[in-house]
Amino acid sequence: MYKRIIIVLAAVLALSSCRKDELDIVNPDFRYCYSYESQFETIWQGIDNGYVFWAREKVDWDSVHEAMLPVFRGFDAKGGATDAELTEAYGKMVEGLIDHHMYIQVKNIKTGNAVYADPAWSEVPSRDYYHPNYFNAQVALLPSMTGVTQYTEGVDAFPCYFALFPGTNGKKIAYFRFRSFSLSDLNYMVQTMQISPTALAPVVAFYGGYGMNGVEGAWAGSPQVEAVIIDVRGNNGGNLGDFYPMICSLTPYRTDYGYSRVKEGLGRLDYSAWVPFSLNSYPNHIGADKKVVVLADCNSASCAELTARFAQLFPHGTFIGERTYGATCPLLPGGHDLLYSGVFGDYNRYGYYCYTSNFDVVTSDYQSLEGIGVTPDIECLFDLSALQSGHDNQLERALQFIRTGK
Amino acid sequence: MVRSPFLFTGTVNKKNPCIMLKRFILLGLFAFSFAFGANAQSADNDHTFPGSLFPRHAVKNWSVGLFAGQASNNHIVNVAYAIDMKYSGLDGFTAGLTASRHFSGWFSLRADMAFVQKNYRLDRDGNFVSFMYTEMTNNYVSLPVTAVISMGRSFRLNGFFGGYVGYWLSGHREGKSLSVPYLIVGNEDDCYYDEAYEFSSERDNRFDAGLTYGFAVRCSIVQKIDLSAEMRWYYGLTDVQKKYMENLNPRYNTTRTLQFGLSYWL
Repeated sequence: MYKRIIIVLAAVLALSSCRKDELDIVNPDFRYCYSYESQFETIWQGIDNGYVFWAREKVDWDSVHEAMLPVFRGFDAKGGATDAELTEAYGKMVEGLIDHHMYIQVKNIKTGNAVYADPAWSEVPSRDYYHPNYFNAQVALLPSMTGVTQYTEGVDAFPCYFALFPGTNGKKIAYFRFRSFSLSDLNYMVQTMQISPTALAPVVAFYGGYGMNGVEGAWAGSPQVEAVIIDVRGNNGGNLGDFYPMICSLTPYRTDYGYSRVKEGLGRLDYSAWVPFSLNSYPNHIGADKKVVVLADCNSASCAELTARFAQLFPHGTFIGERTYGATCPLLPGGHDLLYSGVFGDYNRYGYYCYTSNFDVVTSDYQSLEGIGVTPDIECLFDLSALQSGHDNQLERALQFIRTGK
Repeated sequence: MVRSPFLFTGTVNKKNPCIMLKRFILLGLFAFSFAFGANAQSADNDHTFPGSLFPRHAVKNWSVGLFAGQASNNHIVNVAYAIDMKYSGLDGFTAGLTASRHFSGWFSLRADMAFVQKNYRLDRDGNFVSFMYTEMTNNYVSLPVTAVISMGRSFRLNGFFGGYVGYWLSGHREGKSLSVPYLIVGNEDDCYYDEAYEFSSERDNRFDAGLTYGFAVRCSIVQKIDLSAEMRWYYGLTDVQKKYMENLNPRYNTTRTLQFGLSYWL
């Protein structure tokens, strides 16, 4: 009897040890790397455990490790790599990843120089409508365009432009263009007198109140204005906090973009549930009787793309231009310690840095626009020859749409 | 490594769960036939059941019953450097049917069909995201087969050990997640969710197996009917995730149930 009990207990102990061993997974956010191999392994693992798009990614990340590890070991074996070799190696590593916010910055151990890799660099320029950013050339045409009044421009720290165009029945079209969503930073600089308040004159003209009080007392809210144009061509995004006052003051409605989720563990497929991505209108917003047109192009990224998408969702909004860059999912710089995903590393301290998204955002029908971009309601591709002959064909198309409804 | 090229977490493979369920039912039938098959070979051999308020001198050698009680789960996962992710067990419910074949006064084989909830909660300690949490309710059906050793007279003490197979039937999750609107306007209401859990065929391992053991006290309350109180552990040996990546720590469930039952001697 006792022998049997002992045998059974031994069996219990033996079988209970059948669970798999736990892995020692180290935080990729802060590691000192003294070899090309360790730099590669750290960045590979940081993306492996923290990348937010694995559920929809087509890249076989394990195969990437298998293919690229010998390359970086080879750099160590031969005593170093040139910047070009290292750039090419990291470019191959991230090639095909859909995250268009992503870039990797690594210090070349041999040369001390920074090298960069960005998965969007191999995708966006391959689009047949791709063109470089002609921001300065386009805004240079503004003051001389037909019927322009009230033209003002900002400063280099925050390039922004305001103008009134003639509309229909004696009304006006208020136009505002800006290069990045950095209005809060600029407000801070004005308050601390680092720059003159006149630097934000276009903002005040369009929004009033330095852009933080809706459109109260400004041209965008004026009854003399029948439509507004927000021009985010060449705008590379910025502070999501600025997005709310600047864009949600252009509608009286709550806007339902879709859903978002974040990582909820170190497994590639450890996700939180989807939660709504909806925003109420901002106080002192414009009325639904005003048309809202957003101009965006292939160089419009991040918040600029969200602006284009929100305009599509406004009942009174239209997006005119080109399919946008494809970096539609927000991130939290410094958020790796909170979410164990997104941006990790520190170039100055550890010699590597990876900039990547924290949120997986989809539309209300669960379609992801990451790596794809927002497709315009009215496509109007950039025309270099028109620009060279003094015409901004995309802005002219937007004005035509407002004036004719076509 | 097999990987779905475009997989939302919500995607459910309609085919594999059915196959798993069929295999599971076959295993269940096998488990029950194991218990009752042994009974058939010695159906004519009645045994004296030595311990009971109503001592039986010619009891039949098998019994059936039902039980219900509380299930308390411990979700075991090494979070590695994600140190502010705190997993804790949650209470749930268990109920089921049981059948035993009694070979002698001290030894029997038992097979159950049990519904067991293996619930857990994930909390976050980080300052900015401390409102985030997830409560997972996981519904399993389990088929434990155990060898039972009994001792005692009026109150009989049973110790049992065996194995089980199970299937993750469904799940539900409720909690708060970080949302984009929360970043912008700080409204936690946008972060709340309460929904049926949708399985990922690439990630979730719905087959469950492991060891089960415990002890029980039994007594007869009326002729042919026993009352029991039982403490049981389900010690999972199957990872609740598939091995879909190398750099992944396993997750296991260990579930303790406190259950009360009635059994009828046939």
